[in-house]
Amino acid sequence: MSPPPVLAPAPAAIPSAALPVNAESLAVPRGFAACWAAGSQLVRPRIALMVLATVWAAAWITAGADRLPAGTIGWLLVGTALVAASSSIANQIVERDTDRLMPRTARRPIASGRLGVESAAAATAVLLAAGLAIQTRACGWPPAAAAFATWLLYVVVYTPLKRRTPLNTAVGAVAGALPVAIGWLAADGPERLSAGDVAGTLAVAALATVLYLWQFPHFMAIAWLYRRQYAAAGLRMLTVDDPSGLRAAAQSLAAALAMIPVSLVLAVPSGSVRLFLAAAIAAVAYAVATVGFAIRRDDASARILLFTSLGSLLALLTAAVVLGTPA
Amino acid sequence: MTLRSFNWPHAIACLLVAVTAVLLSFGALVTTYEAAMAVPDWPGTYGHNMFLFPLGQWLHGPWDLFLEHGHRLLGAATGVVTLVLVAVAWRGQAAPAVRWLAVAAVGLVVVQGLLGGARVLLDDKTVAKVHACTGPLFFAVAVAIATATRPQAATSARRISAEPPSPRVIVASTAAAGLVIASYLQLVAGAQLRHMDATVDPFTFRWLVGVHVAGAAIVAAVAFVLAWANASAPAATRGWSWLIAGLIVAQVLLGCGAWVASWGLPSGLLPADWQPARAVVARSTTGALVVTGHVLLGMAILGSSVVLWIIGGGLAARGDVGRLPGDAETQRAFA
Repeated sequence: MSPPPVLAPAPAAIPSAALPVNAESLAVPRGFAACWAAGSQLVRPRIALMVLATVWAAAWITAGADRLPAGTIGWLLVGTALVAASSSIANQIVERDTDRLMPRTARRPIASGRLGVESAAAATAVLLAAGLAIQTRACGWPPAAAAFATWLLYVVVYTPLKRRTPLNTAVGAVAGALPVAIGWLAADGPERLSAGDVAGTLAVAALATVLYLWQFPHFMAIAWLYRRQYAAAGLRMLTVDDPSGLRAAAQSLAAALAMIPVSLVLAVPSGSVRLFLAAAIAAVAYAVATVGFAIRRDDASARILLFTSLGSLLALLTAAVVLGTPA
Repeated sequence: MTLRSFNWPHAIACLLVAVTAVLLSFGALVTTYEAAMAVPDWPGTYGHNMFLFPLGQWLHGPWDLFLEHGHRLLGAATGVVTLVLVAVAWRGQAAPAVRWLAVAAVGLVVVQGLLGGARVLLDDKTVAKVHACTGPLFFAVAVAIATATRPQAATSARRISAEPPSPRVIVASTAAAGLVIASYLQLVAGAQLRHMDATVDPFTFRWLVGVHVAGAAIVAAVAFVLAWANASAPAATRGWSWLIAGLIVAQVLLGCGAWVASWGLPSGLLPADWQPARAVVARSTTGALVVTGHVLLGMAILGSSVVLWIIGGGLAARGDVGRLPGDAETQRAFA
């Protein structure tokens, strides 16, 4: 086995102007495919899909044997998708200056100037209003309020915080876990809780905690892979403040370990042995990948951690929905 | 040595390991004797503040009450020691990994306490399983902190990092990490059997037994690969490898004993007259000791695997000296 790759001697502080963005690489493609790509960059559908999966899983677990009507859950997801798209555009408006400084984000429509800030702001407002209205119409105001709180936390608190403190991940992770509350509220979680259904709420609380903890290793892996770009853009990620990666690795390790028991709580409402074991394996696999990153702190281990994070979350959500369903 | 230069994080972490070992012993006995509901309220004990429950009633009361209330008191003591540890780690010069492991320990002990309360208030077997899986995890973290703060850690990190790892060292390092994972997953599978619901179907039961037996084979295989890979390692590493191999031999024997104590002599995979309700109770003193010992030895194997993984260089063998800035910081990461 060859020794781990040697990084360029870096950096008590990573040089902030190290990554000039090549103007040629920003050439604007045209045609339908280009529009589709621009739209994707704007609303980031993969992140939105993850949010939708979370909302749906939370509603499913909360409702248990009482299935929610397909129409209700469908409209809830449509509304959530619109709010998620709105938050993504708002985020790109706020970050357009820093996005221009990073090759990873410089081609985004607002950062590259293909979409004006005014138009983007209008789209944000329309999507947000439409999303909240649809959610309110389908499930009442509580899920819409939770969605709006998530939007505010993500756009107004987390996004500006990225320039100020490495603690931004701890705040952003709350926004990442809040969609669980949307599903819980849409499935009448408070009423079920007051009626004595403690186990369902316990599982949903566990899901929210899992999502919160899950984000630390996930984002630390991303922050490691793009640490030079973040430094160039002046974003205060932990891997920029501590280029050795030790603090990022240590925080990831603490979160991944804490995630193991919390994941197991997902099996409580159903009492499913298979869900219990599936959750244990998924959480332990994630912890193992995190340990690997903590030991090596190189790009390869960060990529493994990133892929494992997606796989383990997908496995956990799938297992919670498929195996945790009461007969 | 002055009070200031004394290695407080290591001393407190060792104390935490000791208290946790006693706590886990009480917890295992609580499960063996099905004493979890001996105290039906939480966080109090029969209406008293837990810490003010009359000593005489505890010590001279029923055995189940003694176990359950003792388990709670030990849990509280473990929480206090954990808080002291995190305070000492963050106030002193402990490495980032140690600090954050201590934070993880605090999180785990809080979660574990809440799970214990939920187990009683909900009277739920699945919560009991989660509780049973969190205990060993906390123990492993405590052992990791104690090992990573030992005085020899700094010198071994320097020695190991100075030379590139040989293939045998890489096999040993990987096998040690694998043993930590496999032995923990064995405890997870074992917890399913220990807290089996009486209504579980025979297919699930057979499947779980199969998983646990197959897991035992995997743990044994990894342990002996590890012993082989560490044959020419430093004495301490070699010693821990063989200790683990010995523990696993004893564990297999205890596992056979636990089977007989719980379910009788096997005819096929299960006795023909097996009844699920009988499956997890060992009433005789010998049976109780065998079943409880099997659980505790499993935790000892997990703890020993963590020690071996760290002292064998699991955290430092592929250390980043010469690869990243801040070598001094890297060296003291797990030192």
